[in-house]
Amino acid sequence: MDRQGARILLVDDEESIQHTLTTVLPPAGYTVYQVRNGKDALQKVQSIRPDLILLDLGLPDMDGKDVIRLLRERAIAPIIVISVRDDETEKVTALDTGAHDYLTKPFTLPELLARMRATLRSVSATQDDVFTVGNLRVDLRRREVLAGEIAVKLTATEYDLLKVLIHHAGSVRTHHELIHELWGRTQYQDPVHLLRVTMSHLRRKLQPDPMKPRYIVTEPGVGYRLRTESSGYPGKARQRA
Amino acid sequence: MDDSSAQKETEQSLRSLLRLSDKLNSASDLDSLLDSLVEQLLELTGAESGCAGLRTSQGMSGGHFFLGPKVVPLTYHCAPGVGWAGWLLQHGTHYLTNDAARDAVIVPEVRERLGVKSGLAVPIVDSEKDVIAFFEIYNKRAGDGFTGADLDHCLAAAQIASLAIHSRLLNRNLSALAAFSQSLTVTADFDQILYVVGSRIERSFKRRSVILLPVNGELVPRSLGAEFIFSESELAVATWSWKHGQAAGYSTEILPDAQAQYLPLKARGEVIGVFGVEATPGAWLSNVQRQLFRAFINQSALAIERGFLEQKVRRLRFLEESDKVQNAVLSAISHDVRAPLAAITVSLSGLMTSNGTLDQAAQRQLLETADIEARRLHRLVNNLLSMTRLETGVSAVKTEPHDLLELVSAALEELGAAASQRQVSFDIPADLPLVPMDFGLITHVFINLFSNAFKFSPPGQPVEIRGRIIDDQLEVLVADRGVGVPLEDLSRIFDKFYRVAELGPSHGLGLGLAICKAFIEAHNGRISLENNPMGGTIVRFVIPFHPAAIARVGNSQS
Repeated sequence: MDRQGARILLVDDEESIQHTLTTVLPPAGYTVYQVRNGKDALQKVQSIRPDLILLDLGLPDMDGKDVIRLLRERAIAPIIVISVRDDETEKVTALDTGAHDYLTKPFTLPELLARMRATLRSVSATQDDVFTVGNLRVDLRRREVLAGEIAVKLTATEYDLLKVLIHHAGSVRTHHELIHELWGRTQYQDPVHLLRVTMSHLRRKLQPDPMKPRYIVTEPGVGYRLRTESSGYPGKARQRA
Repeated sequence: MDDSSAQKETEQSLRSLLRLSDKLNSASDLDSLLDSLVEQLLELTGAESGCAGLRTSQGMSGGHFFLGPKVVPLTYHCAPGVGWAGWLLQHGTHYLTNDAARDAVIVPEVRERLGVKSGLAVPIVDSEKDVIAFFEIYNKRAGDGFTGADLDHCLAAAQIASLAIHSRLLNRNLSALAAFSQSLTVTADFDQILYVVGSRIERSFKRRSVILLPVNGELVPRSLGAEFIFSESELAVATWSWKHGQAAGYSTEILPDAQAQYLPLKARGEVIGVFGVEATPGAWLSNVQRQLFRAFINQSALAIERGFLEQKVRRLRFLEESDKVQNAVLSAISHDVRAPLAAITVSLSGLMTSNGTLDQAAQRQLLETADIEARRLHRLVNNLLSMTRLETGVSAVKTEPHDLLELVSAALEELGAAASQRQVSFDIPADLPLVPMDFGLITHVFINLFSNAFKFSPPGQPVEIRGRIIDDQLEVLVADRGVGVPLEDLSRIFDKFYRVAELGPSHGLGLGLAICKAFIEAHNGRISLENNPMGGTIVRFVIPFHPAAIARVGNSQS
């Protein structure tokens, strides 16, 4: 990454979004290139070689899913879908087609920045040994999970699940992806259900207080996301309010 | 026999026939008329016993067998072609035998009970040669059996009886029709009208029937008291009758192979539906019966038409009502959308035009206001959207097994500061299974319930939430120690745009609980609200779920 920071290709035909993001992203250290339709996006992606693509699904010239597929053929840059469509099948299709994450409009700037950071980090392949969010601290090298001062005892499956989520911290992982990473080609009859139950146990162990914000959130019909301090977990910043 | 005795006998017969005519005309009802007929016939012919009966919708039916002056209680139902009476119905002419012992047509029970050796059966026909009744006489006391003269006398008697019986049958039709009309007039409900028509016709004509009415340009059978065999091909025949305004099906010229006959229901010259009546092969209706049947059908058509009109009136009234509701929606929404929009606009424009006159804390304040109001607006739009989608059937409930606790947490997170300053106590068992529900919808229910609880109870008072599995149902209670709901408002508290007047005009859209109700009912659940004996309110909702789902969770738990 050079001094200008990561290159972002913004594909959205909505004036207000274009305007806002080209205003707020450069101060956060990003260089923004913008196009308004799928055809231009496919051209531009070759010439500017972006590090990340922000893609609206409702483009005037092409279907969003086709854009994702064609972009994935041309560039290795990860794609975050930003869309007003809040339909779960739409999300799953976008993720299955190759999008890295999905953000529903309206979203806040901190949310967007967090997702962008999470996505860029997960493709850069350098991982910290220690993950922290809120009161939770996971030391991957020592297989140690602490909730505040207290050591949390996880089963092997629960720990593996947490590890996978930490590797993709901040981004959504679909049921399908999680099942594949946990059990490979599973013979379990209902692996999604097994995943849900394991997840519910893990979540209660990590955050037993329902009054506190969740570390792991359910994306209904899609999968799960491990929040990071910056990806929507309120942490200390919001508690001041 | 000499001339004078022959003449004497003829005179005697004539006198007997005149007496018969008198007796029949003075009979008060059909039953006594038939009794007199048999009595007179026994006297006229010198027969030992006899009986008389009427044509029914199923064949012939007689009662009151006379053995001399004694009455033998024997009811006598003959399908067409069965027994002497059935034979008469089928052939339309008399039956005479003087060797009943070897007769194959007679009903054996009648032969044995009455010891029949000889017999004469005669149909009574109306002016159109349609059989309307019959009589039978058995065992001539003198001689070797019934003679040609007996037959002549009986035929003459049948002629005389015909008029008397026919006029009484018409009378009976009139009173049946009057009763039918009466029962339809007092019937208000549309489905009730259909039921009355069906059951009356079945009782009067011993035939199952069906009423078909057009729905969106297609004929649809409306089920009546009796189940009716109904197939695609029958529907085609009925549809033909409907489109052409003519009878079709069994025993008509159009598609006679059908299992039923279909008659157009006409009201004010228009075909409003079709009446189907099941065929009973061999048992056709007499002219008199057919007249009554047609009159019944016409009456039914008028009653059904009246039912239609009443339904239309009701629908118009309903539309008027929903117009009112829509106006309420518009005014409520415009208020609740404008209020946050105003706050956002004022805050942002204030920031833009301040030119450095505002200190940092004031700027921050304005921005936070804009942010909070924008989020509120977003929630409102989501609520309205989900509700509209459910109501219009655009989207269905998407259930997945979820952890109740996570939905509660998600709702509290959404409420942010409003929740974190409150004391919420949880009573949810650690082993509560995952329950299939729509994450977004039920989270909204909790947001609305908590938001009410926080709004209407003092900050120091706790809010309690309890979750349980009872009888394959998830039961959730949200209790607060707030102001409670006045008794007069309890019944309408879940209505759209209903607000508790006591609380003043501007505390919300009046949609929160209506949305909760819609979302819970979309899960086939129920929601109720009662006042908490300790002060405040308790909202209780249940969501049913399949017991197999519990078992599965139980198995996979380590």
